[in-house]
Amino acid sequence: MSERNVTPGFPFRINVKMAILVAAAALLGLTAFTSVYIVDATEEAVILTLGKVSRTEGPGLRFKAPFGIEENFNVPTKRNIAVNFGTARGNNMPTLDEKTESMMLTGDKNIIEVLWSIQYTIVDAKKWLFNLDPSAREATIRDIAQTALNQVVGDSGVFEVFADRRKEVQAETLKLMDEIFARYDVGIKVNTVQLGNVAVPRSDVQDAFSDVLRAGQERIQRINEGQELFNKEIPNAKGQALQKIQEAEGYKAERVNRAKGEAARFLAVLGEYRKSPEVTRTRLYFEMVDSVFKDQKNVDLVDKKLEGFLPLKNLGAGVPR
Amino acid sequence: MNKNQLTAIGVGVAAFLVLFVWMGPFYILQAGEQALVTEFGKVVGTEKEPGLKMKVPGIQNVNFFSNRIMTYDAPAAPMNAAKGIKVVVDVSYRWRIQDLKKFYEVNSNGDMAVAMRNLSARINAKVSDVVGENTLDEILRNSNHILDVRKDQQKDQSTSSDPSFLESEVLPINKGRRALSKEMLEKASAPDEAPSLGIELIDVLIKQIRYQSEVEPSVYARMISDRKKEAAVFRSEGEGQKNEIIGKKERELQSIISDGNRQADIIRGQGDAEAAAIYAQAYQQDPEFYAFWKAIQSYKDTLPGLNKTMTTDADYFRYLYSPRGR
Repeated sequence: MSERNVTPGFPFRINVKMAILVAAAALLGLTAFTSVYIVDATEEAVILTLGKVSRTEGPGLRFKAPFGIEENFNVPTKRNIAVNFGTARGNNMPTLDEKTESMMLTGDKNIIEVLWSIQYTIVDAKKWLFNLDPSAREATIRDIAQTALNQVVGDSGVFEVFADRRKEVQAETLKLMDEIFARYDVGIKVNTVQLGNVAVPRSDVQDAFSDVLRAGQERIQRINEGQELFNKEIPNAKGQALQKIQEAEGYKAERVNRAKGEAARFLAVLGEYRKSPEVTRTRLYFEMVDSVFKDQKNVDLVDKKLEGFLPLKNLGAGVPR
Repeated sequence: MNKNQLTAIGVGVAAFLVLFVWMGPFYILQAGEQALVTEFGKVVGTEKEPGLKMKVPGIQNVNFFSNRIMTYDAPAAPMNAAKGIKVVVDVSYRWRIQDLKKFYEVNSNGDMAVAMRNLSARINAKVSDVVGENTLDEILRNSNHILDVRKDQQKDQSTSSDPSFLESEVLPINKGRRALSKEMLEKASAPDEAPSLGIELIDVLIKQIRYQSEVEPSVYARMISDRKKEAAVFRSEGEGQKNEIIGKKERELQSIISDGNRQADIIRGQGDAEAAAIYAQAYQQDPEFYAFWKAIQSYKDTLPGLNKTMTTDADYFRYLYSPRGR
């Protein structure tokens, strides 16, 4: 058995060349790592060179001076960012704070609950980055939104917020928010203010509000009922009045025609009468008596000159058979 | 020295230089930040302009602070508005560090929590003052919009679809919410006996005003009674308007019918008059014959239906007893 050298030692020889190579590779890797960055399609990158704003870059794979000489800040300028109020922000039930922020007081001092949301876009990445502290960004947007809507609601009547002026409330809030953001010069533009559910907090108050709506409906219904009666009866009455007028016209025509007829008949007879008055008079007289008595039976004839004659006629008992 | 050794030395020097630059007399002040330089805890300078800056390595220390707008949401505080109305006013304010040296010294070496405690104590007092001096109407509303709307509605009662003129009292305001918010800012940033905090206060915004929870039940009760009144008005208005329409209907009916009767009577009268004229014109020509004629016509019409007992006195019987007549 030959002896073996079992002394522990470096498993390989230090190679200066290799060390330099490793160091250079590490340096190169670090350089690459600190000089390459990606800008998302919805973003814009602001580059600081030694702390000073030097340029902005669009989306894509970008390069900057390594080792923190240049730093990039990506800002999602093309994104429409939504912020919700009064609703649960996590997956849980709304917290007390989230419930509280939805409580508002209207100008006529009614307590209402408003769920709402806003959407905004960062329009100026530099102002957004360097005028507003990162710790203040979310809070500021929430604060301004709340301030603006609370002010507009505080200036409105409860029914205006419920329905009548919803659109105006949204528009005024948006305008007010933009006004305040412009004052801070933080590079934000508000796109929409959207009111969601607007309600009264307690069920008994809700009932009272519902009853007002019902009463409003009933009021319209009553008015319609009256209008219906009106619409039904008035044309009917107009018809009746027209009917009466038509009847009167008929009466008039009948009267005049009869008068004309009778007058004509009279004048005709008069003409004949004048030619031979006595004869005509007698003829007319006897014709009359004829026509009156011709078909009549049981006509009693009494001669008043016969004294003591008691007529058989029993007055009042009808004609005896 | 061989070539390899030379290169190794070169790399070592380069590494040292990088380390020196990293740790040494340079520091970068980024946009949006400001720096405070201390020497063993003593403030020796501040820097606001971004860029590459120098310091004495190992002796001077650099602390960075924000040079941007910051925000503070004060906890909503219960307060009394004028007339003892119990409200909760939630304000938030924007601020920035204006005088970093002072900020650092006054607020326990620039401790944010301490600074906020100091600032909010000062602002809360002013907010309380302003709220206490003004009615809830002044703090809540920003204009007299509601009153204008109500005035319009009263002017135009026919379209009173929204009888909000019934609702709880709304007082006219002079200043309003934004003006009071400005007043809070002015009072809080006024240089008074309190020492400056090195802070510039940008605004004080009234985020929310609500009633304290202990008075909420009575507010709800008022809301209910307001609504009940409103509903009652709607209902009686409905009945009233219905009755008004019915009354109008009755009036119209009578007017239409009486007008119809009037016209009919006129027409009938015309008919009667015309007939009378025709009759008179004809009969005038021989009144005596007319009397005879009319009598005969009348007898023909009226007599046939009657029971008759005749006397021989009648002219008709003139020839009854004698062919020569009586």
